[in-house]
Amino acid sequence: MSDELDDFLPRDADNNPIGLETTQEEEAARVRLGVVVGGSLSKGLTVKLDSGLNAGQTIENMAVGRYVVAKGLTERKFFSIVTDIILDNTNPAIEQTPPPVSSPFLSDVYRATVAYGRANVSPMLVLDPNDKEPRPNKTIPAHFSPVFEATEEDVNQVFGEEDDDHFHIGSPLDMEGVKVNLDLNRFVERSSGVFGKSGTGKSFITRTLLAAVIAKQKASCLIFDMHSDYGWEITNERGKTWKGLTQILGNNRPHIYTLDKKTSLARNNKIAGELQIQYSDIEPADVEMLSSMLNLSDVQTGALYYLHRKLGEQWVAKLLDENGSPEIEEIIEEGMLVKGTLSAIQRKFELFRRMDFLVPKSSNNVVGEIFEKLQRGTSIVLEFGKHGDNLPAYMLVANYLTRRVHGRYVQAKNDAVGSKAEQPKPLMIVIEEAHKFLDPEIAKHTIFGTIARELRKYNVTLLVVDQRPSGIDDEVMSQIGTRVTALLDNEADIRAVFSGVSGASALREVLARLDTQQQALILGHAVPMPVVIRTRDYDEELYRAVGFLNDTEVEEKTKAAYDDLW
Amino acid sequence: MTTAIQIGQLLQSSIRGFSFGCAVPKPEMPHFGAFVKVPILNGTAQAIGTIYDIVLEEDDLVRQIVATPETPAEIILDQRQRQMPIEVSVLTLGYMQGTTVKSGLPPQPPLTLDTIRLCESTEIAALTNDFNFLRLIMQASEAPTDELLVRVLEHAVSVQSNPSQYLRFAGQYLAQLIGNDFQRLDTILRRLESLL
Ligand SMILES: Nc1ncnc2c1ncn2[C@@H]1O[C@H](COP(=O)(O)OP(=O)(O)OP(=O)(O)O)[C@@H](O)[C@H]1O
Ligand SMILES: [Mg+2]
Repeated sequence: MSDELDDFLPRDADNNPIGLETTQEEEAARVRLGVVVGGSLSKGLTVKLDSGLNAGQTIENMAVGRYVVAKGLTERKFFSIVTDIILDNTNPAIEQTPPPVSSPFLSDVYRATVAYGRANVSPMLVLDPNDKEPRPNKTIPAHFSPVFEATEEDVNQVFGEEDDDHFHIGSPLDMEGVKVNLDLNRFVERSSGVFGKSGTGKSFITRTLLAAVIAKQKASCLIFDMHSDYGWEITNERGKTWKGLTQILGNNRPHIYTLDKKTSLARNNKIAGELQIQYSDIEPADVEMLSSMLNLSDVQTGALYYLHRKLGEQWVAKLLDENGSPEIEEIIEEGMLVKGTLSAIQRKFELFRRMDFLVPKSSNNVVGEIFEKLQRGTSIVLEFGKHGDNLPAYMLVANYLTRRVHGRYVQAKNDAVGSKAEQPKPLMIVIEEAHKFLDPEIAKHTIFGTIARELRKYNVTLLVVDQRPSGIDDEVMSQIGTRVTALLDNEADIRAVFSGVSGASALREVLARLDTQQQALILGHAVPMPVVIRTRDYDEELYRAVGFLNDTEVEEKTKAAYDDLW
Repeated sequence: MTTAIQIGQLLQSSIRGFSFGCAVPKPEMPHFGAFVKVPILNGTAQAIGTIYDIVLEEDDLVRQIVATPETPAEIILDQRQRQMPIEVSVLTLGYMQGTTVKSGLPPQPPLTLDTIRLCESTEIAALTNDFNFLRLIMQASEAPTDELLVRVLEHAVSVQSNPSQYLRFAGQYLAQLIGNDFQRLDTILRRLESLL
């Protein structure tokens, strides 16, 4: 006797079981999961799962986020993603009278019939046999289209080949052999975000993305490196070390600037320079962004501008001067500011004293230097060293530098429009704790909000790294083209990541179930469809993919170049 | 096939079933739920069915005997030896031509006085390898279907090499057939389980 119920089903004239597809050779190799029984384009498809040889096993072998292919009547393959798995029945009476545990017979019978599994799947793309490229799907497969596990071949067809424009950033879950390749041109075209709870691998993903963008020369990056995650050697809490971007990127290596020379040198970093900011270079707008952090009231914030006008460019120095200054006395005497407001500001400015990169006088012009380098295609990592845990310092510097670099970009772009000069090189600015910069209160009137909103007008985009995306202004969020999201468990954060993404709400289940490390959902501009990946290992192989040569290789290369010369 | 046990002769028939007469039942036959066959189409084929009823008609003599208080034992014995045909009803489930067995109803009914025989186990296996026969039983309004179904499956299972799997598939087929009547399905399945 045969093992399959199918063999007992009524047969047609060709002895094929009625109601089941003829098994063709290609399909014989695929694992059939079920058939499409309903659904809609907007809400996704309902698939009735086959009971499987062991009744019910298909349900347990399913996984949210897995790829499946519905094979339509027209030979089109509807590439889809599993978004939910449901236990259902054809007769609710069984919920009142479930079979007793002592009766495997009844359970076995019911699990294959009255009780069954259902999966919700979201169709994402259509693979037409006549098309090379997958296309967005505008329809859904017909009733009773069989649904199969996607093969590696299908997935490869969707994510394309790895080449200079497409970088391998990971593999779909359960498909180690398949590469998910990010379209780098599209990635840098708009602002992007990397989100996830603490410790989920944000910094590693970001480093991988940056390595790709820099190695393939898609944009110059200005990286505000809060925790020394990007430039030089990275060590985790268990003492394992990885190489930083400057160590692996060969000729494209970013230059490291530091706010804390001592720490950077102690880490053996190759440093290109030290960033110091003169008191006199600080403008009220640089401080304004810190208003909520410094707890500055609206009145106090407004007063900053007045003080700057009144005290001149030495305003910060004067406000910090413990001996007081005649101008300050004067302001109070004139009654332009109440004493309380002024002393509150002075008290809050005390914070600047601990920022030893703020100096009364500095001779170098690091901002100009950095702009020049970015223009030439050299990326910059700005290390904060001991200031990394000082959020106001981080924000002050990021804001300070970004405002000035952006200003020059605007200038350069305008010059280019008048065709006096070349287009400025695309610039990607990387900030961590992004919600602090882009919170709805301040996003409207700070430089980062402006950059996010003006899109690519001046060839400047953001790469924001954040563990609390719900804190980011909605309008800014809607401009984030590519979103790479590791595990998030806060409902508001999950909602934020999906804001403005049509049909992606089905992916919520997927997101909330990611592993706590090295798994991420990528959606948006730079991938053909949302995809859950195990992120690529940041290791020797990746170093090589972006141009890393070991010492002997460097030696050989130099020798070859030298030989060529003669 | 000709060696198969003869159990009676056809009294009356239709496409859906037939009845036959036989002498006073012996303990081993005929049985409720047993598979029997009868020639059709001029003997070129055999209709196969299952026994769903066995009727002993009353007659005047029996009435009189019953009316007598304390019937002597020899009278009862006499009575049992009388040529008093009993009527056996059969539900047709399929037919066979040569060695191919088809489930479903035959093209013609059998003719009166044709001989009824018990089916061989190979024939039972061939017929019940496809669960169509369960549908015919469930649809028979004249028969005590649920009871019959259990008994027929008991016979069918006895010729299978993997009875538990066979019963599971049979149960699944039934669930598809009458899944909307959960009470009934559940009762039948619990009976089937006890066959294992
Ligand atoms: N692609 C990867 N390759 C190798 N190890 C990884 C990778 N991704 C994550 N890890 C491991 O996970 C740990 C945490 O990653 P990471 O520091 O990037 O997290 P994070 O989200 O930036 O955390 P935090 O919010 O604290 O900054 C790393 O120390 C490393 O051990
Ligand atoms: Mg980090």
